[in-house]
Amino acid sequence: MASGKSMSKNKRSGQIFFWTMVILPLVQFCIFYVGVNFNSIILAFKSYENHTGVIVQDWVGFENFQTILHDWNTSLLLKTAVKNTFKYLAIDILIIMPATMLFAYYIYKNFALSNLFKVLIFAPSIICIMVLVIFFKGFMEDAVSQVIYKTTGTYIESMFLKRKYAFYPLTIFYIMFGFSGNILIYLNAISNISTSMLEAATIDGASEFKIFIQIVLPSIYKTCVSLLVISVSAIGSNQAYLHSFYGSSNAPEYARTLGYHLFDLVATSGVDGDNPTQYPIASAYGLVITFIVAPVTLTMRWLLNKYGPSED
Amino acid sequence: MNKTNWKKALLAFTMAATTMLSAVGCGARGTGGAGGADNVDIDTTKSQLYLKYYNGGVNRVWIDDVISQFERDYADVEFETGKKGVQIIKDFDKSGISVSAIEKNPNQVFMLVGVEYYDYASNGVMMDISDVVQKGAALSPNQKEEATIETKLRESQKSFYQLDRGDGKKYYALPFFESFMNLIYNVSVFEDKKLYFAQGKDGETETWSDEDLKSSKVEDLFVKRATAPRSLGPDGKTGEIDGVNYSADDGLPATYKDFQALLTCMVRRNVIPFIWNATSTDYLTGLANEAWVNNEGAEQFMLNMSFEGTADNLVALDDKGNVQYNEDGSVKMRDATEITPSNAYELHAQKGKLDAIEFVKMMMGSSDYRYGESFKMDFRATQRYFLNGNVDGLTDGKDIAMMVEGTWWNSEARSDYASEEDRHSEDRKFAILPLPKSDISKVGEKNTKVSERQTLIFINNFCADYAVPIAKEFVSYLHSDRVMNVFSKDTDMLRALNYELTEDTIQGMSYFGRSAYEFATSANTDVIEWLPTSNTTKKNGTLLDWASYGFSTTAGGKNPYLYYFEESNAKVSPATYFKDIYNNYKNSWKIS
Repeated sequence: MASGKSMSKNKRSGQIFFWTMVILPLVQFCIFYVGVNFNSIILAFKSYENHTGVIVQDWVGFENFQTILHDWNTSLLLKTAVKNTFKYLAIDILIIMPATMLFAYYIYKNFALSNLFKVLIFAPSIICIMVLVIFFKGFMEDAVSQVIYKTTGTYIESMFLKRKYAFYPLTIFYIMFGFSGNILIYLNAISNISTSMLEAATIDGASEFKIFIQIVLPSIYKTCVSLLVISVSAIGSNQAYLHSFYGSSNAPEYARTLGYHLFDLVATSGVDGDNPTQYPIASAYGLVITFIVAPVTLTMRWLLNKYGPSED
Repeated sequence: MNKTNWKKALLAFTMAATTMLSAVGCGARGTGGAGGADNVDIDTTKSQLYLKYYNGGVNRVWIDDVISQFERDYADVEFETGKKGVQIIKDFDKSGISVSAIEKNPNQVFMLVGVEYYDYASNGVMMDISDVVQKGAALSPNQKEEATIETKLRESQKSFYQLDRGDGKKYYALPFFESFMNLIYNVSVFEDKKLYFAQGKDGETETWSDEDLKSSKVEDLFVKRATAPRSLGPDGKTGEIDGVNYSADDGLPATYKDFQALLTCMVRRNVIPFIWNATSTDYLTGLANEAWVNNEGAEQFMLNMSFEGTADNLVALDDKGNVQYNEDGSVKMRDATEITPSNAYELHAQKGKLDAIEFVKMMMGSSDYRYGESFKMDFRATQRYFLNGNVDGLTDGKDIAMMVEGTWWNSEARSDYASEEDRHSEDRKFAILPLPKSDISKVGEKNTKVSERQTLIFINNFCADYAVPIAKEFVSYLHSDRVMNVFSKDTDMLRALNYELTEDTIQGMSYFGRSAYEFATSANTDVIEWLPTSNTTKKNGTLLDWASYGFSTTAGGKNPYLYYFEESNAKVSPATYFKDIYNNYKNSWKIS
């Protein structure tokens, strides 16, 4: 009896402890996730004005979506942004992802200088991005420019403000940074592969390439799918570090991505920027992107999981 | 504890810790932190006033002086029972503050740059300061100026700053400083290299071909001695006429053709005509806006700020937007056109804009016209190179003649001078170049300058009751002619209000400050604000963003200098670029 009472008391105090600790996060989740996103969705169907000194919000139905369609039809900016966004997605999938996997495997296998590579590749993730951007800009504008000038006689006035050149340094930086972000995830996934399986393959005389393709890749396939899904689902917000390089609204139109376009829409709202009058349009953009990207992402995940390689 | 309980406890701890961390993060942002506040001891015998000041290019020297003076002037005033005098706590750094952070922010008076007035006012974070504006500025505890602060505001400013939030029109903020974008020229370089047009050479280039303007023929246009008599300049006059001094621009290029000849001459004489920065490319857009405004004139340009009125300077275009020409090759103009919000895109056919594009194209005409690193440098490096580049051996023995910069540059660049004496030395001669007119028929028309950036002074609406009278007194004090003179004397800049500088102030300013003041306040110069003046334009404020409104194309580019920086556009005529801008606005026009 006493033991039963004690257990019930323990259970009750456990419940109190649990809820005391959890209630605040739950409230926070409701406000900052559910509430904010709900408000964002609602905002897409509203207008926001404050030029009289009073905030006036009205229901405008699909007017904001019509504005987006109008922008799409009358300006090339949005089309360029979409094109660039897909360009970076392709870089993510075709360059960063395979290269990161290979490097992760290289490091895992402790090949020559692997520890040095580990530090070098991971460094961008722990150093402030602005430091890296300043360093990289200086490197490209000074050192690389000088090398090009000395070797070819062509003086490049700006690597970042000329259409002809801007894509290259931006892409190099994007790849460098993409590399560092994912390498630990892959390394961790590869570390979970049974060493005996790898050893057996080596004893059987399988080449490193064969081991990578036939054992490592299927074993980390779930991780690949997850990272692929994350890349695709984030295309609407991928700024490709343009803000770090150019600041608010100064990125040339030919370099812009959808993510930067959305950011710019919010940052340049009003006569002198930073007035929420454009937020409803930005919300509508968010919904449009979600409607396009969500089904694509889910379908892609389903297909990859259904038809991808199996560990068996 | 069993396994499930452990899991629960771990989950609960993780969530709680995450929440706490983010709450701490929110808190730090939410309060604004007063992060830049000077570390001073609170003097409990005095009332405290907390001041947030944007410590950017304008610098803090002047405000430190004014605060000291205010504290001395009000040393015996009791704003709170049992306390005498005021101690101002300074939060000075180069950052702004978000609207949502103001309520919890300890600062009571804000002096900020790049503030969206409507956003702040509509969120109720700005205190109604109409009583301050509609009285004379405080000179001391018992003395006020006779004229009200409101009389120092221009009409466009009154229209913009008075808001009716349901209880009549009220002021919630006052403008801080004037912010033009300019071609700053090095007077000493012009003198040393004899880059002034000689007397009698006015209009001589008008019949010259482009080849002539880029040939050695230009050498004959310029003075042979630095002190030789000069041409009349863009105002077409010299000497003092009806109390207005027309001599300041003597010898400077009057027309675009003169300007082209000057650029040729500079390169021939081993001078780099321009330097600008790449980190704030909107400086260049600002200069293009200045060229547009200067060619269009105040009255016609202000149609862009209202979308109402009669436009009488519109270029005739065909239905595809192509510029039409008269038989003599001049641009064909339209009859006066009534502008309403529904057809206000027609303002993008203003002749002044076509002229501005031509000016931009001329500046971008050759990479020899700009310092080679201009599209890589930041604005501080640009200032340093402009000031000391040749002396410090940074520019391969070449002087730089002109720099694209804002009115604040000379205050911002003070650390690039050897000392304050050096900055004020008569050897350091810089001035604002009056932009040349598009052709000789425009010579003699007024200069027009446009102040683009929103810089505001306001009081926190959540200011503690005790501090309200102190805050209002301090804001009032900041707007006396005397204090505005202190501002101008130290910064070489002007507050964005009408006031006179005293002789003492003028003498205490640097050469640049004096010339900028003379230029901006001359009867031959109109100063306007880039501020919407009608309900329609106020409602469509984003469309009027100064960094994009003038030169946005269908492709999305908005900076005419970057447009002509592209080799593929180098041969695009101003008329074609103009057509693209016009069509972009015409085809996408949507006014709410």
